[in-house]
Amino acid sequence: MPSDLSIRELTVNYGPVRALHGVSFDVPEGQIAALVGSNGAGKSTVLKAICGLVEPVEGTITVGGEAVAPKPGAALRLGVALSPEGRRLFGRLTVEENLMMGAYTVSDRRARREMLERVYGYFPRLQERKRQAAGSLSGGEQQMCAIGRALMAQPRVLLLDEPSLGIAPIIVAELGRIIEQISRGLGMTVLLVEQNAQMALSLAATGIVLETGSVKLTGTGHELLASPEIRAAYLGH
Amino acid sequence: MSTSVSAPPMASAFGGWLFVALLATLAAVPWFTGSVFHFHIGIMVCLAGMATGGLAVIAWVGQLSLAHAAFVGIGAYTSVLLVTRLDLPFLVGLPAAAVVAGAVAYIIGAPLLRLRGVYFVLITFALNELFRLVMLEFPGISGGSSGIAGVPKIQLFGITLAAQWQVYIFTLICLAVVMALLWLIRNGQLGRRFAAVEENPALAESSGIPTARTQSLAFVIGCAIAGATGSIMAHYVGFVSPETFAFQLSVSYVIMLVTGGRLALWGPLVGAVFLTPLPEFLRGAVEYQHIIYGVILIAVLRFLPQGLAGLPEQIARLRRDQR
Repeated sequence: MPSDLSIRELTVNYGPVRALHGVSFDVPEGQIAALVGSNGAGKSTVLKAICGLVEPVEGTITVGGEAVAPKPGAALRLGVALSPEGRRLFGRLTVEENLMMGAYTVSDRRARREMLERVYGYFPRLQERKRQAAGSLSGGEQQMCAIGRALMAQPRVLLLDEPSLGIAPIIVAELGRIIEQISRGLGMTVLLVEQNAQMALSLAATGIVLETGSVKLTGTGHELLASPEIRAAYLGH
Repeated sequence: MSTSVSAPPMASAFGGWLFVALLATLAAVPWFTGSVFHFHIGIMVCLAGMATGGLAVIAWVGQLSLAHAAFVGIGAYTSVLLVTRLDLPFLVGLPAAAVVAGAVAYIIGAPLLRLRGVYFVLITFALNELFRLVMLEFPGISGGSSGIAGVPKIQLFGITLAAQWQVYIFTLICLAVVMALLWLIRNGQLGRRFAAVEENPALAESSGIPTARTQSLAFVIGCAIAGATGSIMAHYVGFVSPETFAFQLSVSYVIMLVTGGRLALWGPLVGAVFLTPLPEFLRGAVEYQHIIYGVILIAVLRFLPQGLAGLPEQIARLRRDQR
């Protein structure tokens, strides 16, 4: 199977501290991959490197076979969209304005409208609240809006940073189902970065476990969920 | 609860019409009293509203400029020099003032706008001082500390605006043009781009919005408006000197903007209407003027973080909460 996003021997330093030591993994086209690990394992650093926000010491990142330059915006041009962790939205703009901002790089007006309809199809709640300021949404709705915003760029690879963070468990389950639908429906490659290993691995075709800046294990999501090591370290069983 | 940035600050359509009626009444006051002094204040309100409107455009991308008076000054000197030295008509001087101020903003904006928050404020503060000192160094151009007096009056298609009420009508029209421009920007694609950059530059950049170019564009538009204002101001007052455009003038624009409402469309206008007449009426108590400004600023920041333009919405919300 061809891989859409491929990371090879990625090494990143923050000053004297080595955050990633030679991380390599592939995300196959049209599938969901989960990058899991505890706090400080280097998950966010991988995302930052993909988006060109940190410059790697060594290693390459390729999207659809093309190398990503370590500059902000380079990955976006190759079709990578990020739904970031934390401040994910323009709080004072409306839901619809936020979504349209996500399609800033899409010049075709009709394509934008079509994508907006699709996003509303996946997240009917956003349509109900489209004229509302994004900052007034609940945490779960804000996350939906952030994912929708990233989708609006019509990416080939969607990066989701901690979508379950600070969200009620029942909404996390709903989000998981929607992420699966999106990947299947649009044939989109998704890299899901999560501390919630249970949720992420149960969705993912491929799982990558990071520990202190190195890849500790890879396998299918179900293999990893069943592995006693993972159960002990991340799932509390 | 919905607080959309694109919604008008007025709580209802009725409130909106009330606001417009109030503004129109205020604008008509000089004709009722017939006082030259009131016409003068009206003109100063219009000029302050225009300049503060320019400052608002810069604030919409999240930057606060303390060099706004310098750009008013650049416009004023551009127009005065063109009209007095090259005998060009005022109608050439006015657009030239906007173009020159905008061009200077474009050139210095590239390095300056890399700074954000308090660092941008500080560098623009230094810039305003730099403008004043450079102009004082070149008396051949600026007239030095004694300035240039006897600047010809505003002349439109051969008609000299000699009477105060004529100038007042002209400045009212100019103010309306500036407000219309602000409205267009605000309700268009560009306004949303500005708001996105203001609110979350990192997210805007990662959405592919060119944040640097967006900020530069806002800075150029804002400073060009300041330049045009400077041209009208110079030809109305009839006198320019580097001291006219000192740091204090920049501060008063900032105070008007914050008092009126930094992010509201009507903020700059409300701030100018409210604060411009104050020092004129307090001429007898000039030494207290800055104290009064300071107290107003503190009170607004404490009780009306959205400025006076946000007042109707704040009252509406209070009422809703009580219900």
